[in-house]
Amino acid sequence: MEIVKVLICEDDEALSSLIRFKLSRAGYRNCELAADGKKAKEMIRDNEYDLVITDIHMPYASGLELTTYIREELKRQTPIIILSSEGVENTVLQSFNLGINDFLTKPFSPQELVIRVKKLLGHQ
Amino acid sequence: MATAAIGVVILIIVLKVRKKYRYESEKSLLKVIEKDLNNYLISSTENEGVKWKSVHHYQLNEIKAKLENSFLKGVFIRHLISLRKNLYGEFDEVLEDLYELLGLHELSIKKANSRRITSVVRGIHELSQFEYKSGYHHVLQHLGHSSQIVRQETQVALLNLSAGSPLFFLKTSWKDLSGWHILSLHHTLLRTGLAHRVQYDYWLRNPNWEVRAFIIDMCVFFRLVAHMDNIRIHLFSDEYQVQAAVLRAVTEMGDDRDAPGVYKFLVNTDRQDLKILSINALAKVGGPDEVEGLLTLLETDHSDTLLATVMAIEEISGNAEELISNSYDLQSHIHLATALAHIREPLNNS
Repeated sequence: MEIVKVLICEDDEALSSLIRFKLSRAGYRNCELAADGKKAKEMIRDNEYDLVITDIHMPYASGLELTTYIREELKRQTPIIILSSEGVENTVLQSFNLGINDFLTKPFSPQELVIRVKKLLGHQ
Repeated sequence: MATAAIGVVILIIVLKVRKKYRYESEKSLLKVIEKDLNNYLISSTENEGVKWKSVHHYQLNEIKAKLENSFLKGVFIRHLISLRKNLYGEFDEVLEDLYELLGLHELSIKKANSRRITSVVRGIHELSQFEYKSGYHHVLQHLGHSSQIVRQETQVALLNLSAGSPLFFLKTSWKDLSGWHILSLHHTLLRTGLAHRVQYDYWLRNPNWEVRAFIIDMCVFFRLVAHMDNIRIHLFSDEYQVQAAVLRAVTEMGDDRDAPGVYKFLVNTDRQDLKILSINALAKVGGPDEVEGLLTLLETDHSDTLLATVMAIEEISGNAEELISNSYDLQSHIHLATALAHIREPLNNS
């Protein structure tokens, strides 16, 4: 598997750390963390990521704002997975309309996340 | 005066320092423990066999050694609760086991038996979150607590820990059924999958209207159509709060057999709020007979009732403008004309 660079944007540090650990066990060892939307924007601006996994509700900028930033301002097609407890239809539809690639509702199974990541990156 | 001011300043500084210390301790504990915890969780769900059992044992002892005092244990419990809220599947069980294996339940029980209300609530919440069934009696003792917050936390916990009839506490604790607490109970029932174990028909006969209204709303929440026969009988002979719950149930369940009863209720009630709920219900279940009836009610002076009636006629017939203008002179009924304009151009576009 080529080296894949993943950004995990999640303000719950316990969760982001567990996701990183789980992904590293699946072979994705180059995972970086951003604990808020502002930091995530800076990291995305300064780096090229192969995948962004983001929560919706984060300090300073939401996951939806982050998606708009990636698609509209940076004009990048980086695959984006949203991981959110807000799984209502409107939010899911809005997220896909903004250009995300996948949506997982919390509580979620880390195993399922790994499968979706592999599928999205063409490793399965 | 000056001494008091200095005292307040010192107190603020002490509280700030304490807060900072707690925050830093929390951070450093999580940093230290993160790797062991993640290793433990992931290997518990991914691997089996003797080798991994010994690894688990090692990691468990590592975590245990780092939880030196009750403050750090408390931080760790919150950390586990946060993970439990976000993850499902195998992790659920592993987190529950970890809570017990590390002896954290003992701290929660100690809190639940504390004299401080904040500690009691926290202890009950923790036992509830990890579904620690042996803690049931430590929770149950607070059902009649003088604090409403403790009583409500207790009720949610008893749902989580329940082995028998999940809502048994309604017999004595119906007065706490209000607002967010009702939503908490509904969501806990949904999450625990206990909704099917509730004896709905039994509770619908409860002497307290709070319980009857709560149970009807719950039937709506879980769309339990089978209980509608026992729900609709409360429309004509109950407190207005229960009648409102019945009308909400009729609206949500959408059974057109309810239309004649709701119309009869509409023309007999004096309460404007119940009139509007009835009209909204008719919009969902009414037919041509109800449209005819609704047309006769358009002389009302109450603007909200008028608008609801016009909208209901439109919802049922799809032709409110023509039906109303055949019965009323819109030039002399300016409110009717305005209500029809709302239908032509909905409020959100105006």
